[in-house]
Amino acid sequence: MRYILKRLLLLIPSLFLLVIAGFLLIESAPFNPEELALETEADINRLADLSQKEIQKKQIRRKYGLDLPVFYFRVTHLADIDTLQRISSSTERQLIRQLLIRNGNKSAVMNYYQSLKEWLDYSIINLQTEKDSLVSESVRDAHAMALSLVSTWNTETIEKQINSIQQIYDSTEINERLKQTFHVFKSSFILLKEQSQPWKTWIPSLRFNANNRFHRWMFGNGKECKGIIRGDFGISWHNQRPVLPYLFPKLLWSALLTFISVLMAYAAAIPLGMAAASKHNSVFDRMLQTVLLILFSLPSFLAAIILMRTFSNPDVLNWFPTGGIAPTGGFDQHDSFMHRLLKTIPYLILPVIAYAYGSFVFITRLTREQLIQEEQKAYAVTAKAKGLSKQVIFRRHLLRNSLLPLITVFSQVFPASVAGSVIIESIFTIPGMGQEALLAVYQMNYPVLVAILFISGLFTIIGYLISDVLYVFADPRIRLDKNKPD
Amino acid sequence: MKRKAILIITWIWLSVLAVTGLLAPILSTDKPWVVKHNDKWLFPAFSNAHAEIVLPKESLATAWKLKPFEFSIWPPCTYRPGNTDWMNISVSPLDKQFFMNPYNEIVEIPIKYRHWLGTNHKGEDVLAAVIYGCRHSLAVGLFSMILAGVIGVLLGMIAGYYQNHGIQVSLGSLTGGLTGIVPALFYGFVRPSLILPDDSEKEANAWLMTAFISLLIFCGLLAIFVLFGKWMGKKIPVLNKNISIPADAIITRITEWMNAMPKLFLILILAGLFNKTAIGLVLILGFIQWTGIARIVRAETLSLRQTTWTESAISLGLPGLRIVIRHLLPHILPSFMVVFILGIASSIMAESSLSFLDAGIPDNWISWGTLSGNGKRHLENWWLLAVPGTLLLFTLLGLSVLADHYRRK
Repeated sequence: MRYILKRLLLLIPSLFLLVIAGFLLIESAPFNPEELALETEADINRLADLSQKEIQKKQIRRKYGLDLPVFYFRVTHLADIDTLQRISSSTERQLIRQLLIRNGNKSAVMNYYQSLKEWLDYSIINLQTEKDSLVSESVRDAHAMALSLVSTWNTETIEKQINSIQQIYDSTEINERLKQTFHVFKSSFILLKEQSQPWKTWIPSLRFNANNRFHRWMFGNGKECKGIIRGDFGISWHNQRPVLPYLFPKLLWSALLTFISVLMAYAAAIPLGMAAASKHNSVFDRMLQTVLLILFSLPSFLAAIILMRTFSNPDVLNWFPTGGIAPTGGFDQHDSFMHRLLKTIPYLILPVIAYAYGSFVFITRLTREQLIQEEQKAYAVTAKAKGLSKQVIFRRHLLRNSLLPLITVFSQVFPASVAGSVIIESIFTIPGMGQEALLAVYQMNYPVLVAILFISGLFTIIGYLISDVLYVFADPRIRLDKNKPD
Repeated sequence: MKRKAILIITWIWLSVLAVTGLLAPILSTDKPWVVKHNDKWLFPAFSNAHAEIVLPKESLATAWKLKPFEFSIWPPCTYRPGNTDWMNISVSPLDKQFFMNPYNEIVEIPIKYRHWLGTNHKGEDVLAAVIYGCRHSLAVGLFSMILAGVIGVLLGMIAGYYQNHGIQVSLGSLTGGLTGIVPALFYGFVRPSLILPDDSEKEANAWLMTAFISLLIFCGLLAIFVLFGKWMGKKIPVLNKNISIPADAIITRITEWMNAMPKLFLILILAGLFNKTAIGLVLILGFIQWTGIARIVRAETLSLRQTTWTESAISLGLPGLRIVIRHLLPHILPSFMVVFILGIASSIMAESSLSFLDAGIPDNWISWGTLSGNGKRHLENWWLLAVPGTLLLFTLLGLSVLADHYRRK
């Protein structure tokens, strides 16, 4: 019991590692949900649309927690600010980041950014209200230049741009308010240039943030997001539904297939391995070895296709349906559970074989090798000398001692078959987790990917745990040996 | 001996594959190896300088085949992957194939221009694709396992040889190193990554160079901090205590965690993240496959550590590195080879599975997996699946036989 408890405790860091890996995955996604959600293009010249879009963007950023810093702590330079993520436009974020690392004066940079934004707003308003076409032409030019300032952080280039805008503004009759905001902006730029503190950007600093994206993702924020720890994997970016309820039925199919195939693999492999070992070096043994070697080298997708083309092909043998999991049109509503199961079985046979053969080959070879090794040990020779039949020796004496490596393998067979599900399910079109994972990879749907990674990792860990428990049953020494270093 | 014959056949087969992969651009090309033109010998397949030869219909893939030369030697496969032959679309290896000669007459194809393994639905030669696929599949398998082998042997040896008490670090250097992490990270990675160049045009492979320089700065700074900590340790007695790093426990734990992840899932997901380059694929496979090697190397080192001759080498005062390299490594080699070869097989299998699913591979990637995937979409043309599938099966079989041989040894 203590042994099992100890193993259970060891699971916690593994789970934690899985969570961190999942979080890193989501964070390194090449695009954000905000970009997915904002596919409707608004006319950038119309202020109403622009501000509408701005508000919408802010809401989405808050919904996905993108307005928070990434992690509990981060390494950065002394002049960096912590609230950068609250700005919704990625270009503006980049502008501030670049100005900060080049200039080093926090307040001057923020002042510059704010006056730039204000001036741009007035510029847009002015652009829309201006009636005179000649004036509006040059103002339009000036506005285009001003917009390019948002993605410019080289001081000399900014200065050049400002000077040419100044020339345009001087030569045309424009709104007094616009001129004023432009002057404010210009003076903030001069301030930025004069008050630069580049030494600050060379000093490292470690920042802490209690409220961050990881915390929100892991523990939830008490409102819309419940956090991984309560089983909330977020919302699928593709169909905007919660991930876990959506994945659950698929998980059941995958788990069923994996379970049946692992069970079948063991049930078929151990007797076969025993038979081969007891007739060691016979013709049967050698034939089996060769066949197993070939099967071992057969990639599972080839095996699946060969099975499909042989047993569900109208030209060869049309025994089983090609793919899917249920008869076309679904089950009859009045069917009982047993009926449904019976109707499903033909759909399951080929996938289960394709699933199981890899582990089956592996286990058979291992059983055979293990038994042959055990047979040469002293206790087996003694048993033989006592006059016991070969059958009895194998079943009573050798099998139990050969079980340990087989149990170790159990923890490896499990992840292998979970991964194998990707290929088999996509070939046999089974609506399981593997197919969902493939779809999520194609669509770059990261929350679903993370959930699948987490679930399959959990499955694997459970496999490890089961094999640990089985160890105790197979080998009583493990139970007694309390000081055994794991 | 029968077993010996099988082994020899395996070696021949694997070397044929290796040579094919190595020489793929020469074996499969749409230009002749040697031609005699105006009494001059030219080598179009090996150099691009063939200005004096005027080809009819230059834009066509079959341009070189249309020019009548006095004398020419052609490679075994006279097509490149991507060359489309519109005369022969979806022809099987056994079908009659056609050819349009320079006089625009359709005739049966000359034997040297035949599509020996048929063509696909675009009229691309299957043999050419298979030759290039061999190159890519083998390269990914081999290089990823070399990476995995380096990591695995290194970590396995450290875990097995030093165990939990072998590596002693003074408290001073430990504190030095820990405090050094933040500045080293900052100057090595954070600050360079924060600065975006003004002109966004960057070289394609610049990130590799940048990463290398960053790593250099990181390690250098960390080393400076560690040395400073060590020096401080000599001055301050509290920091002079030695602490042993439980290398074995750490490495075993990492291996266990890595094994807890379903591998193909992990590869699939990581491959979706990386920039979908061949190097990325090799790196991912290498960083996932090392655990098996590390486990075997650790176990072997652990048992070798207890032999009398290792003990005597230690008591002679030989340095640890010398013992490991000169005395332990040769003994580990046979069992290492088994895992290494099986690892190549499983890398190839993982790569072809990814390619089969068309997930996380570079654009226009040709390997036996992508060819099989294409074959699965056109099942009515049996050769599209049978050719790459058989090759894959026999390659993996050859590697398994070889691994089996090393295991028996």
